[in-house]
Amino acid sequence: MTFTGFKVITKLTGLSLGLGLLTWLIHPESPKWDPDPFAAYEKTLDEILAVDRPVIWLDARAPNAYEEKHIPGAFRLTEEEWDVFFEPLLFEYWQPDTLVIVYCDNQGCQKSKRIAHRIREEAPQIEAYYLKGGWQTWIEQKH
Amino acid sequence: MDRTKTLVPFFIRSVISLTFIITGLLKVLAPSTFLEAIEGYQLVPYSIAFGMAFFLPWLEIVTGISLFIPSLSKGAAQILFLLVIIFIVALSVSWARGLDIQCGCFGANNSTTNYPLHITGNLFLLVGLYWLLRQSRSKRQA
Repeated sequence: MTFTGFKVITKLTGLSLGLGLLTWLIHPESPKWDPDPFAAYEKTLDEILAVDRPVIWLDARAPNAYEEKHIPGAFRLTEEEWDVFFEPLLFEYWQPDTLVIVYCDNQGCQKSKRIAHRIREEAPQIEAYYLKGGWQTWIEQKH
Repeated sequence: MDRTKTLVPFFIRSVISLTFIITGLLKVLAPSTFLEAIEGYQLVPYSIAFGMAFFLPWLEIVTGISLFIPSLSKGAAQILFLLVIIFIVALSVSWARGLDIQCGCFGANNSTTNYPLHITGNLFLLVGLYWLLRQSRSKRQA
């Protein structure tokens, strides 16, 4: 790579960094620095199993993963199918003392966190949490 | 024949350029969604993902536009070539780990990633960029 080429790459990268910084400062929907914004909704499997309340499990993984295997009694609820599944679930199965626990593949996946957050936003009467470690933890601890 | 020689590189350059400008703009419009998508890959810590959520979209736009500026096009193509390789590696690693992620390729699109489709798309971009780089090299040698 020539020196001129290196200078061009530096310029383009620098310009992108500057514009990115500007976006962070002025974008109305800019995310705030928060490494774990959904930490308050997290529950470990031990905590859930120790609770003496009915639990509704919601599986936020891909439909084929749900069809293959899921936590016994779990319902499927993905973001794509929200409108189809959420309201029937809410009206048919939820009761005031019920805990709703969402899970996805593992600790790194974000879907269960987002769905638990969305449930709390759209139906504040529901205590929704996500399972720490997701399906991976269920498999490791229950099998 | 001469017309084809001019039109084909222009067409390839335009497709690659527009792809990056559009996908970059979509990500700039929804930085939170893009940040979540990067986190879904589980490849970098939050601090790096946060920076990438703002930096990468603009890098795509700036380099996409620069592909049409003669003095910048080679550098832009080199950056995009490296970027596409990183995308392909990230997608392949996530696929191998069986992660159900959102690609993050098109901003606020929450649908689950179709790995073969996205990797193939990126491979086409990679071939196009390689071809552009070869063209600029042979032009310089001529």
